[in-house]
Order: sequence, then C-alpha cells, then structure tokens
Amino acid sequence: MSGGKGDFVHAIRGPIVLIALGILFLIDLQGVYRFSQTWPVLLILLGLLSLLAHSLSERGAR
Amino acid sequence: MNRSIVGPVILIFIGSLFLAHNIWPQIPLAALISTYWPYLLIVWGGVRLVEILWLAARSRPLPRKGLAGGEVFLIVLIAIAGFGFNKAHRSHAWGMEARGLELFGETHEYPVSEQATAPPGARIMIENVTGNLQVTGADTNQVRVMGQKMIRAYNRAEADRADAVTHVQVTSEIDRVLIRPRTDRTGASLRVTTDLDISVPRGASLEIQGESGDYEIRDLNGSVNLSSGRGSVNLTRIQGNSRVSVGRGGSIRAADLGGELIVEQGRGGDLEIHNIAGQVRINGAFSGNIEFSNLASPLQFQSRSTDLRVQAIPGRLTMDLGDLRGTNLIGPVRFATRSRDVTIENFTNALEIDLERGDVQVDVAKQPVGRMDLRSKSGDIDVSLPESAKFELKGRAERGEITNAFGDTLRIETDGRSASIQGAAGQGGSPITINTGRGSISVRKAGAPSEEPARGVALRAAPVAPQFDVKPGAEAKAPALADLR
Repeated sequence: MSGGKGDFVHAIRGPIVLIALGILFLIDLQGVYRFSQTWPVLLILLGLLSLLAHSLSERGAR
Repeated sequence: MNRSIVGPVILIFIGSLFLAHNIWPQIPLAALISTYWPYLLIVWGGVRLVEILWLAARSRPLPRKGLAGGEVFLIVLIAIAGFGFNKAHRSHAWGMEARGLELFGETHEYPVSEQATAPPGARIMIENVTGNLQVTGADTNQVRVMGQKMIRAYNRAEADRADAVTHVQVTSEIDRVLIRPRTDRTGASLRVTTDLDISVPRGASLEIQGESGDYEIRDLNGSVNLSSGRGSVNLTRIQGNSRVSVGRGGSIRAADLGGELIVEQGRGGDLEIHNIAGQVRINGAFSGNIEFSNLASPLQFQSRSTDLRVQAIPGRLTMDLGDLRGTNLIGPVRFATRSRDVTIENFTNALEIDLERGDVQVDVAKQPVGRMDLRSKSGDIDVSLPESAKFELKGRAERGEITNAFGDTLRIETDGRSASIQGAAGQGGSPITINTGRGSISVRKAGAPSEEPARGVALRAAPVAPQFDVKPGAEAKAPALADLR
C-alpha cells in the first residue's frame, strides 16, 4: 500500500470540505461574516489538505 | 464495496421531519429549516469522515473520493435551496432568528398594569425601553404604568413563557421610582416590545433611557432627560430643562417649554420647536424641515455644515436642505452654511450671513437698520432698506453687476467684470458690507421693486402678464399673431 496515507487524505478531503462549508454557511446565517467574505477559507483548507497528502505520500514512498 | 450510510440516514431524517410537521402542524418547520440547514452539511460531512476513519482503521480499501459525484450534486442543491429560502426573509436587518420570527411568528399581546407611590419631588427613571412611551404629568402622587406588552413568538406557549419572565418592574425608592421593562430576559430568540402609557406626579423629573421607540412627554414641572438609540420625540408643556439625545431619529418636536432645551441628534428628520422660554441648543443633522418660532432666549443650531445663532425669535425661522427663511428675528443673527438660499425679513441689531453658495435676500422695513455682513461665494445678494434709512454701505461683486435704487447716495464703480458700491445715507448709520464672488448685488428701497428686473422679480411679475388679455386691444392682436405663425 504505497501512498496509502495519501489516499486516506484524498478520501477525507470531501467530508472535511463539506463540514467547513456547513460551518461557513452557519456563520453567514448568523450574520457575523457573509459567505462572500469567508469563502477563501475553503481554498486555504484545500491547499492545506493537498499539502498534507503530498508530504504523507512522499514519506510513504521513502 | 462499502456503501455510505449517509444517503439512507438523510432520507429517514427528512421523512421524519415532514411526518412530524404533518402530525404537529404548530412546529415551525420552514423557520427551523431556514435557520438550521447548514447543520445538515456538517453532520453529513461528519458521518462520512467517521466512516472513512473506520475503514482506514480496519485497513479496508478506501473510496477514491470522500464524496461521490451524486452526493456533491445533492449538496449543491441543498445549499442553493437553503440560501434561496433564507434570502426570501433577509429584508429585515434582524439576526437570523428574528428574521424567522418576523415571517413565521405571531405577535401576542399582554396587558401591563403596574402602580407605585412616588415620594414627593421624585425622579422617575425609565430604563431599557423598547417600544413607544407616553409619559403624562397628573395631579397625583402615584406612578401608574399601563400598556401593552407585545411578544413576537412562534406559538402561544412560547410567548406565555416569555411573558412570565418579562415583567415591567416598578420599584419605589427613597427619592426615585424605577421603571424597567425587563424585556432582555428572554434571550435573543424572541422580540419583546412594550407600548407604555405612564402617568406620573406633575412635579416629577424624568429620566428615560431607551433603545428604540417614539416618546411623547407632556405636562411636567420637573426636568426631562431623554436618551435613546432611535425614535421620534415629542415634548409638550415641560417647566424644567429638557435634554434630548437620540442616535438616529425620526422627528423631534418641542412646544411650550419653560426651561432650556438641548438636543443632540445623530441623524434625524424634522425638527419643530415652538414657544420656548429658555435657551435652545441643537446639535445634529436633520434631513427634513426645521422650524423655530417664538423663542425667547438665544438659539444655537449646529450641524456638520451649518452654524446658526439667533438672540431670540419672536417671529419664525424655517430651514430645509435648500432654504432658510427668517421673519422678525432679534439679533445678533449669524448664519453660516455651505449651500442654501437665505431670505431674512426684519431683524434687529446685527445680521451676519456667510454662504459658500446661495442667494441672499434681506428685507428691512423697520428702522433703525441693523448692522449687516452678507457674504456669498456664489450667489445674488439683494437688500431692501427703508427709504429714509441711515446706513453706511460697502459692497463688492467680483464677477457681477450692481444695481442701486438709492441714486447719488451710493456710488457704483465697475472695473472689468467686477463692480463695487459705496456710500452713506444719513449720519451714524449701521455699517452694511456685502460681498459676492459670482453674482449680482442689488440695493433696493423697501416696498419698491428693483430698477432692473432681477430673475426673482421677473418671476414674481409673471402672473401679472395675463391681465393684458383682458384688454380689448389684446384680443384683437392675438389672431394677428396667430396668422403670422
């Protein structure tokens, strides 16, 4: 199972983004920050996750 | 291949939601959905995450993607529906809960009736009022609070619970009576307002601290101190000093006050001040009509671009965004603003007008003529004085003409595009200085129109023109004109 950890990160990416999305929508509804203001959080999250996947699969390959 | 349990779980969840709504219709399903739908996404993601962790822990093959294509599609659909649902109610500036309440809630009313004995000369303090308030002084030593408590809630039971914890507290202490509608105790989920009609001993002083609502206060011998975030204010027959401070208001109206009046207003509509014995000090921005009449003491009005000071107003002074008109003022009068046309009819002592832009017209019919200093960077200045008036006039139009009805008394000099006028009538008259950057100056005799018809005069003359039609000659000419065309 080389790169298995990378696969794991790929698998959890969807659910984690979904949870983040739900939280941002909630914040929007509370009127604290609009979704139009907070959406870059999703980009950052995706970036972090793929960074994690990258580093994990590299370590797995070694 | 493992299949996610999320799909069936969501189906079961939505099914039971609708079933519950059908069986207990009072459940505010729509409001609940519009408030809580994002939790569905969070739970969905959470369940998926747990599933994958569970698979990983058992070293089972993981799905290539956390979410299947169909799921993503469904999520997008839910988000669009949820936001659309929510947008429909977003017209109000309330929090989400209140928005749901506005749409799906109902207003439940509860009567309020409280009473307390006030010590003589007591201060009446009213705190945290949300809703309209009417306070009236009466010949009694009782403080009586009558009115209506309005609770906006999804159902009666909820409103009843809120009613139980939001009493209008009336407590009598050594030298004061405290009135507190405890509308803050329900939490943010319900909106409670009170419309109160309070009668207090006539000699009492009043202190009101409100959040929003319209305030009507009358017949008090004490003082009034009112501060509120929002609302209109109406003060009538107050013997003591009045102080009003409103952040954002409708109109402010005060009439028949024995003391002074201080108004601090963030942003307001109309301002109407009549019959005030004491000083009047106003500081604020008003977008509506402003009216002062019968002020016995000095008036000081200040806004961002306007500064107005008058010693007293036996007559009337009105102002809106484009005009200021004053009749029968006691000076010194000082008015400085950015852009307004000013018309002053009869003043005493002194008049100082300083405009960035706007026409000035001053008509003085009575003697002695007061001191005048009229300045406009851009606008016509028109002064009319009694024929036998004594004055010492000095005027200059940087770019404009000067007309003069006083003949040789005043000398006009033109120099290119600018013109100046100078001269004195009689001995020891008041100095009058007139300065305009771009515009004409005209000095007229009271009651007589200016020699060269200025714009304003031409307009006033216009309605006279149709008189010619009545003459028989005019009728004869009219067809001839038509033939020419």
